[in-house]
Order: sequence, then structure tokens, then C-alpha cells
Amino acid sequence: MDQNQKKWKRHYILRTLILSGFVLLLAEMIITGRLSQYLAPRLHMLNYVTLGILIILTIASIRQVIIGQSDYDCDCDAHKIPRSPWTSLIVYGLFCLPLAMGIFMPDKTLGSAMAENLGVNLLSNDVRKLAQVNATVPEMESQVDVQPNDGERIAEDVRKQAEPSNTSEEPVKTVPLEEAQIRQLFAESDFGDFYTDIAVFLYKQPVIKLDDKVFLDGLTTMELYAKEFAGKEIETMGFVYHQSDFSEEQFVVARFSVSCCTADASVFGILVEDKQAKNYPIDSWVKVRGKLELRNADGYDMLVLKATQVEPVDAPKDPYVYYSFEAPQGSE
Amino acid sequence: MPVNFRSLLRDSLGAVILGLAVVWVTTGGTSNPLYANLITWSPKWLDVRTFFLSIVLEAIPFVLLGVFFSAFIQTFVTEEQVRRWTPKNPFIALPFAGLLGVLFPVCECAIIPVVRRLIQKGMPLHVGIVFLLAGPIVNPIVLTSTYTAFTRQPDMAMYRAISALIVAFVIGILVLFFVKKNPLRLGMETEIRHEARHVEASRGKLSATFSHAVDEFFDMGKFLLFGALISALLQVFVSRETMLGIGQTPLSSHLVMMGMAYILSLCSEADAFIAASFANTFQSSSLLAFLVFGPMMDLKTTLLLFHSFRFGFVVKLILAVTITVLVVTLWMPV
Repeated sequence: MDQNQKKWKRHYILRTLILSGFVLLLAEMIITGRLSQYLAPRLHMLNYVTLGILIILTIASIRQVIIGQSDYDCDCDAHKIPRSPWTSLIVYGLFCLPLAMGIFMPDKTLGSAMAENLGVNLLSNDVRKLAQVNATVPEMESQVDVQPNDGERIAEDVRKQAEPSNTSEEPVKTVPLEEAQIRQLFAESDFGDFYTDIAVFLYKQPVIKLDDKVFLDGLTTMELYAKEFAGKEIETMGFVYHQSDFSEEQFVVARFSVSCCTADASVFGILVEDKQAKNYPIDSWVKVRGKLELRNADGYDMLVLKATQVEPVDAPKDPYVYYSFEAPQGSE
Repeated sequence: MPVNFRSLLRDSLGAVILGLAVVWVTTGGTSNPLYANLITWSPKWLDVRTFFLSIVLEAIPFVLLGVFFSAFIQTFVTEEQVRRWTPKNPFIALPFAGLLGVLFPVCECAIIPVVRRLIQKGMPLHVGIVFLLAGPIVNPIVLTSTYTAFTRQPDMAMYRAISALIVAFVIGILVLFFVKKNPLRLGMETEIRHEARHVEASRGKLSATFSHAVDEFFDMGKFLLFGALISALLQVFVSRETMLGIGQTPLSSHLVMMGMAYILSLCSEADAFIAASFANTFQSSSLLAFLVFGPMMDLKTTLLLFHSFRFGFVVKLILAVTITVLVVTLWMPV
């Protein structure tokens, strides 16, 4: 009986240690803000609650150590305590693993290696189809989709500008459109108010700033309205991603998107064409400015960013981008 | 004596780890001398760590939620009540279970302890299974995220809910007709009686609930951790390209997507975004298979299921769910 009591006690001590380890790890992550390396902000609140619950469990576990099993003073085997030392080693080892990893291994932001593993989503196209883009670039210049779309004047104007044939130095903003007109331009395709709002919000800007907040929704919007956005100037930031089948003048400026946790990360990016493409080291962060051009690959429309300016920048504190689920608050 | 020594070793190991944790917290984490130049970790292993920790951090709140919800049922809901609320007629009971899923927004990590507890409390098995399968899909949170992810196919969320309900009903009916034995694990019976005694002794005692929660946390936690580890390893060391390369015919692409859903063990709130990222690679009905199969069966929940139900039952359940999902999603006009 005494022996048994001791055995229980050891398990409770071990559990208390593990639980307090989890409490410390989580508290540290919350305090230093490292939690955002692992979870999307909308789950952070939940983790404050978790921290509270873990603290309560730790206290309950300490109580078990002190009081012993007076609550459960029966000899039954139902309480699930590992029976042999080896199973307990494996079980508790499993619990120590995340603690050890959290403590002894440095944080690492996901980068190009993982991006290659996951596959990159480009503007309306799959990176695997790049080969075709490369192959058809020469003819592409002349055949950027110019078929008039049943008398839709505004869009056609925009598209004409998008044609690389009129020398690309020409400023883009020539047609000053009223907000209502812009709205009409996008409302026709009917992808819902949400994307129409974003499209209008982006289209109004002389140089579209694709910052962290609108990155994902912005990309989706441009993908939906590829033709309308062709020819617009944009500015964005991301890490440099190369792939073996890229040409020397191509790289992707990419971001990882996280919807719940890093395990569901996917990579979104824009294919950039720049003479210096080879010189930007992979995983380094750059700010790119340039003009969107429409290409046609394998029946899909695809937007490519012709860079005019690429400058290296520091990696942002929060490297990931998130879906916002709400339209950007357009200040102007 | 040797046993004593070994356990002493284990305890002191834990103490050392804890001590290091304190040092590390106080020195401010990242600028820590402990690992600074100690070992250069290969980037792959650091990616494994990132995935593993993020799955664990994401799932723990939901597991705790499930644990507490089940502790709550255990303490405050009597068997009498469960029997009275559940409709007697199976053909009313099945939609009733589907409705439960709509009302309780629980994801697949949280639902297993809850269903196990409800079955222990006398909920008929077929009702519990329908709730278990449909619950993580048909709830409003998951459907909203699906709708958001599939902007171009607003129907996807609807097809997802309908297919999930059909699959759950089919399995529920199969269970109703073919499973006569209690599929809860051996020992569960005695455990129930045993727990009942505790509850009698300590009903309403908050401390007892918390002690139970600690037990259950370690109980469920080990399976979750193991599943998360395997999933993290596979995600880093097997490229998605390889998985996708396996099949391009309708049948094989369905199977590939379902296999992927199984391995990735994503939370049902998040998986739609992953599915959407395959939209260019696979046809929509394969994506639907991914969306329906993942929340019903995946690596981490399988381990949780094995813990709660008999081995044979879980194997049959997995087979039946796989086949039904395959047939239903192939047939759905997406």
C-alpha cells in the first residue's frame, strides 16, 4: 500500500512538472509575442483561456501530489496511469517533446524550402504551369487578350492600356474614373459585394499598396478581376522565392498565409520579372514596385509583375498574412 | 531498488527540464545562450518543430474544451436525462443527431471525448456516431470558413454540408443494423461504474472535476501529440507534389485527396483554405472528398478513437466511412 502510494505520487509529481512546463512555455510565447509564429491572431484569445485552464490544471495536479489520492481511495485500475516504466517513459516523453522543442530549438519562420514543398499559388495560376508561360512569352506580348467584351467600354479602355505594345512608359492613370464607374466595372462580374468593395478600394489608388492587411484578399481580388487590374501599378513586399524552372529574370515575391495554425500554411505570391532576379537571395525580404501585365497560360489569365524597382528590406515582425474576413476600411 | 532509481532519474530529468525552462524564460527566449551556438539544427527539423508546435498549440484549447465539456456532462447530466432527450425512433433520432451538430460548434478534436461521454451516459450508439461524424462539418463556423475559402464556388459549403449529412446518416443506419455489441473499449464498462461511484461521492465538487480533467488531459493528450508529430514529419519530408503525383483519374484523385486529408490532420475550421489552394490541380469533387473525409477521419482522431472504442469497431468504422465518402462525393454533382 505504501509502495503503491509512492508510485502514484511520482506520477503526480511528473504530471505537475509537465503541466507547469506547458504553462511556462505558453506564457513565454504570449509575453514575447512568439505565439504569432504558430497561430493566427484570431486564435490568440483562445490561448489566453488555455493558459488559464492549464494553470488551474497545474494547481489541481499539485493538490493531487499533496493530498495524494484521498479523493479516489480505491484500488481499482481504472485511472489511467501507465503501468510499466517503459510505457510511462514513452508517454511522458511524448509530453516532454513539445516542451524540449520549445525550449532548446530556435524559432524559424517558414521559408522557401517549405514553400517548394507546399507549392506556390500565383496570381490565378499554378506554379507548375510556369513552363508554358516561359515558352509562350514572345507571342504573348502581342496577344494579351484584347477581344472587346460586349461593349464594355471602360474595361476595354483599361485593357488597351494594358497592352504592352503601347510603350509601357506611358503613365497608367490616364482615365480618371468616378467611384461609381469603377464600381460598375467590377459589379458586372458578380463575385459578391466583398470582392467588389476590395476591388474598388484597390483600383482607386494610383499605386496599389498591397500591404499585409489586404495581401490575401487583394491577390484573390486581382485574380478574380485579372483583366481589369492588368496595367495597374502595385507595390508589395514579401520574401524571394526561386524555383529551378524559373528563368533567370523571374522570381516570386511570396507570403505564407495562415488561417488557423502554421500547419495549414499555404504560399501566395506574384511572379516578378526583373533583370536582376538572380541577384536577390532566396528567403530575403524585398519591396517590389512595378506594373501588372496580363499573360495567358494554358487557358488561364495570369498577372505578372514587371518590376521597376526592387529594394531589400528587413523581415517583418509577423511574417505571415491572414484572411481578414472584412473589407478594408478605405480611408480615401 | 533499481525501479526506484529509474523513477528518481525520471523525476530529476523533469526537474532539470523545468529548471532550464525557468532560466530560458528569465533570459528572454530568443537571445538565449543555451541553444545559441550549441547545435546547428538543420532547417528541416526546425520546420518539423514549427509544424508540430503549431498543431499542438492549435489543438490543445479544443481538446481542453472537449475535456471540460465532457467533465461537465459527467458531473451535471444524468443518464436519465440523456435517455429522455434522445428520440426513441431511429429515423427521428438520426436527424436529431445532425441537428446537434449544427447547434454545437465543436471541431473534431473536441467531439470525441464528448461523444464518448454521451454514449457512456446511455445515448444510443448510432445517434452518437452521427453526431461524431457530422458535427465537425455542419456547424456554422466551419461552413462560414468554407464559404470564405471557396469564393468562386459558393455552392461548395452547401455540398459539403449535404454530403457530410448523407455520409453520417448512412453510417448511422449501418451501425443501427449491424453493431449489436457495445463498441466501447474493454474496461470502459468497469470504468463507467467506477466513475459513477466517484460521481456519487463527489457530485458537484469542483475539485473532483478538475482532477478528472487532469487525468483526461494526459489521456487524450498523448494521442494528440503522437498524431501531430507524425503529421508534422510527413508534411516536411514528403512534398505535396509527391502526394499529388500519385493519381489523376477521378477515383485515384479522390483517394489521394482523402489520404492527404487523413495525414494532414487539419482542424475542420482551416481545411477549406488548404482545399481551395488545390483548386487548380484537382477537380472540385476531389476537393469535396477532402473536405468531407478530413474532419470525419484523420490521423490524430483515429488515435483518439482507438482509445475510446474497440479496435475492430474503429477499423470497420474507418473502412465504412472511407467507402461511403468516396461513393457520395463521386456521385455529387459538384
